[in-house]
Amino acid sequence: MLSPMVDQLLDAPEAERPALLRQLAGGDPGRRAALEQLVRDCERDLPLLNRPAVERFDQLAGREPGQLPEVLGGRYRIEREVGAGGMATVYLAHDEQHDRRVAIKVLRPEIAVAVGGERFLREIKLTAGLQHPHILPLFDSGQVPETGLVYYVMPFIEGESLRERLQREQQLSLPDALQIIREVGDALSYAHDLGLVHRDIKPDNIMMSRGHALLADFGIARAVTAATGRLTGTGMAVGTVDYMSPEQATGTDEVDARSDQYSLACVLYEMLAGGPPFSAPTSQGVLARHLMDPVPSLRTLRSTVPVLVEAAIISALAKAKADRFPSVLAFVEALDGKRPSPGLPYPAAVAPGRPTRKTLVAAAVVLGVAGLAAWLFFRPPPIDDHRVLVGLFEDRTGDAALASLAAQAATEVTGGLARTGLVEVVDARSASADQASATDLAALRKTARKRGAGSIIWGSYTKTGDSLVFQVQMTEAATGTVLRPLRSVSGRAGAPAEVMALLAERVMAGYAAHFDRRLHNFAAMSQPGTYQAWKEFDAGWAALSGSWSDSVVRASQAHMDRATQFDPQFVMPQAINVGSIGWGRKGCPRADSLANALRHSSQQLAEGDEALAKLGNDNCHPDPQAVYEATTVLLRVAPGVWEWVDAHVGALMALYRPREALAVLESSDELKREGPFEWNNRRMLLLHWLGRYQDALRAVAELRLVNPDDRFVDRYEMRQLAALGQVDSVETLLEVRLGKTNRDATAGGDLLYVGSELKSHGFRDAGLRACNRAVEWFAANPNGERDEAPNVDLALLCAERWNEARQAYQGRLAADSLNHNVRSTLGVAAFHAGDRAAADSADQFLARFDQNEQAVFGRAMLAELRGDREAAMRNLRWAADHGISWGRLHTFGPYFVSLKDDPRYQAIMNPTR
Amino acid sequence: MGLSEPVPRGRETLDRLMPLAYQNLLTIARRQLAIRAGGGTLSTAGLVHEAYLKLADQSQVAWRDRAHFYALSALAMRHVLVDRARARLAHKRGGSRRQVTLDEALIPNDDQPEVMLQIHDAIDRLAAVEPRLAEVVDCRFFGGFSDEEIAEALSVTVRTVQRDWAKARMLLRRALEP
Repeated sequence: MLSPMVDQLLDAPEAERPALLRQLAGGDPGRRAALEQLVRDCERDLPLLNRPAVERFDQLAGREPGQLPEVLGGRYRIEREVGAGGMATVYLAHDEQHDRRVAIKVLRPEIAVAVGGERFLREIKLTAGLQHPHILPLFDSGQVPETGLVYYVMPFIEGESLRERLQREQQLSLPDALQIIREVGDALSYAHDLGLVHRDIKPDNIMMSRGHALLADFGIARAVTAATGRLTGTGMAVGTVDYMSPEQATGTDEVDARSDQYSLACVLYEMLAGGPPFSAPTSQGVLARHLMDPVPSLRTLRSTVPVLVEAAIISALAKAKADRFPSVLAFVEALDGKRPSPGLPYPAAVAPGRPTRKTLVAAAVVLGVAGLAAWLFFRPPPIDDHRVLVGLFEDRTGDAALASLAAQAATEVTGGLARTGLVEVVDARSASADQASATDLAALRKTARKRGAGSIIWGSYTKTGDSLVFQVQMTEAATGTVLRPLRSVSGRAGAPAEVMALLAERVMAGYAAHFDRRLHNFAAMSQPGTYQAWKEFDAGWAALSGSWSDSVVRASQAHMDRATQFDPQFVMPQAINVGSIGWGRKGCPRADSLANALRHSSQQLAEGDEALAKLGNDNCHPDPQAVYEATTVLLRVAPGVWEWVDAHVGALMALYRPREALAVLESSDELKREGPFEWNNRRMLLLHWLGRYQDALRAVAELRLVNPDDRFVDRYEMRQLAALGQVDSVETLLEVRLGKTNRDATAGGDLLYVGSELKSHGFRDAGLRACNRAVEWFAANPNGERDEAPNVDLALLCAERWNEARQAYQGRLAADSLNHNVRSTLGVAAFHAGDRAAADSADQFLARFDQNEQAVFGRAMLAELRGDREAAMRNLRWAADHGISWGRLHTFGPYFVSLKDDPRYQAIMNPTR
Repeated sequence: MGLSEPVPRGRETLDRLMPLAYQNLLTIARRQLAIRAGGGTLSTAGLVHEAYLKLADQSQVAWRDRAHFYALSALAMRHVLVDRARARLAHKRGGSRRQVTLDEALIPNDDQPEVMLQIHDAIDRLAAVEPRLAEVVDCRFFGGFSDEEIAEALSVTVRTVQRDWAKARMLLRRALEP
């Protein structure tokens, strides 16, 4: 009814409006006033809707990585997720065109990006023609245009994968295992004849349906590797390496049908032994063992395995392709005893003789007392972990032209290690007259003991085709065990200098990581494969050690990215990037998709890396419980990194566990030593929260010693004094502070917070004086506290200048109409200014946000004002349980003075943990 | 509001009337967001136009006209954001957020999910009494269309769009603020 009139008024030029208004009102003053108000309201801005929704709600509009449409390709309706592997997530879907159930595998987004969707689809189409009773056919494939997600469609199999069966049964009976191998072997033979190699044979890809095996994912690994070069090369996008042939592991040799044979033999080994032939804490370790270690005896693990079967498996698991069976068919036939296995290429290794405790004791007896004295007298230098013995590299190439590399490689490594300045290098050639003993571990250990070297670098090199491969070991001299696993190094045999340079880089990185608390635990953290990668990581970390700014975090990210470029398997820098990219929330979509990419490679992600990414995630998705969990892991796997101790304490504080936080803090020497400012600052804060003001005062004094220039030290000191009721001292200090720092940008905040503290502790008059001076200070220094703008309004509130405060908050609310903090403080000001209705309406408004801790906290303040103690306590408790910060509870202490004696209030402010 | 029936605007209705088309619209909305999140420049109108041509070509649905499609695509954007707000809120209730400093004044709100749901609610209420005003809000706020594009989409004049926007703003303010 009003609408057409309002339209007319809105359309009328300003000058004609009064006349029109009179006309439309028809002499009714009420109607006239209502119309006038409506038109005025129409012309008023609604800041909330000023910017487009996608900008105002930027956090909601951010990308949700990898989101899957409900219908794929216009015909597959996704029902649910049924599993996730290293490369893809599997969904059960309904094919609406053919009314049947299908399984859809959606390639992980980061892999799809690395591979390139179209290329992947081209590759996978090559396998569409495979028709075999033991091959799971490919129905369809496609790409989601808007997100680039790539998927392929297969029949949905009612059954389980061999992986699931193995998880349940551990070991299979010999006939069952052989039956599966025969069927999969038959499928492979068929495909191999067509020139197609599977490349990713593993129990997860063998589906068991009604007692028969179906080989899945033909061509997937090829499609991935065709684009990225190697399965492991993408760094993050790796499947399992348990079944990977040596040539796949190094990427140095052509992968062919015999690579499938190797993997199939690994599967058979696992079905019989209950575990894959080679295992290690990290994938690098597993790969190293595939490359280096002889096959552990199957019959030792399960004596009922026929010799014939073991022999066939060992042959199929030969390191060199040429030593395996010529075809999968031949392997299967050998298993069945239809043909002999080639000679065992790698006889079981004989452990090198080590001096046992017994022989040492015997030696001491022979030496006698005199000998013992002499021995003590001429004792070798003490073993020093920072002294390294570098041996010669054993030449296994059989190529005379490459014989000189044995010494050259040692020289290269020696030079590299010396450059790092991390270790002192002893050259085995100078330490021992005997050249041959420079490649033998027992002899090297003897030399190391003599020279006081804590560890030994030694190894060998081989040549396969045109590639030169160095195996290198970092061995603890005292025990002869591997100190850290180092990945092998390979390159073109025609360019040995490049390969040896990389070898030196690898060894240097090994020592850098070994002496680095952050990376020391190689089982829990991805490791830098080159020294350059480590240097970049270290520089990126150092960049973050000061206070963060846009340029600081950008610089750090650049270092971290270069670190991962130098070694794609070194993902830890990326885990750290999750935090720095998300810092300040601007990069949240990027940080989220990085975290997502890391998370989706969880099979590969080392425990510590995963925890780091989780820690970084906090910047975009703050969650102190997650930080607590992540830092608990980090402190366990890498104790003594003070930054992580600091984050752990921070999380405990945010979780309202001040007593535990204080205990961790006070037992952490490294944080006190390396981050004395953070240590003292946190400690002071905790002591203050716990009401131990006297101790907090002492902590402030220490803080001042550590960093005399800190802008806030004076403020901290005054707040402790205020809490202790030393009003005179506080006021004197404030005078001094104002006198000496008139241009100091923090003086207004000092006055405000000290005033607020005084009021909290019942010194109302002194508090009011300070807060009034804060108001004056802000008025005189309009640009004084750019980063503390809300303080200006808060000072008015603290000074109890209710009308001015109300005005200030009204202005703020106009710009940000749904800010609960502003609305609740506005309500407080209005209440004191005598406008109870306004306070009530603020309360009603906030009541609609009953799940928002800021709103609920605001209602607690308003309830306290009304004298509704129960509602105030209820809301406070809820806000405290749902994330209102403890700092905020304290800052707003003055507004809850009337609750001070309530045990429920005390329980909130003084938690037991 | 006279005899004009409120247009059913709920998601359920849309889902029932034209499920496939609506799925497509949601996809467009997500794509718009994805382009934004990827740092790309966004031409909403261009994107919607392209999608419309594609859909019209396939003749999957008898479209009243192109304008109708514009308005619906903006509505789809609203629903995508509302879904995300609900999901975020569910997550938020599980977790919680805190900052740790000694001086804690007015730290900024992370109230986006709640505010989004409030706005959604208010627009639905507006749609019940003044459907066209709600469409203008959807097109402008959620669709990001210009006044001219909205005028074309809703077959009204630019001046009407501006007037409707003013009235909608006034009514929404009343719905959102006590």
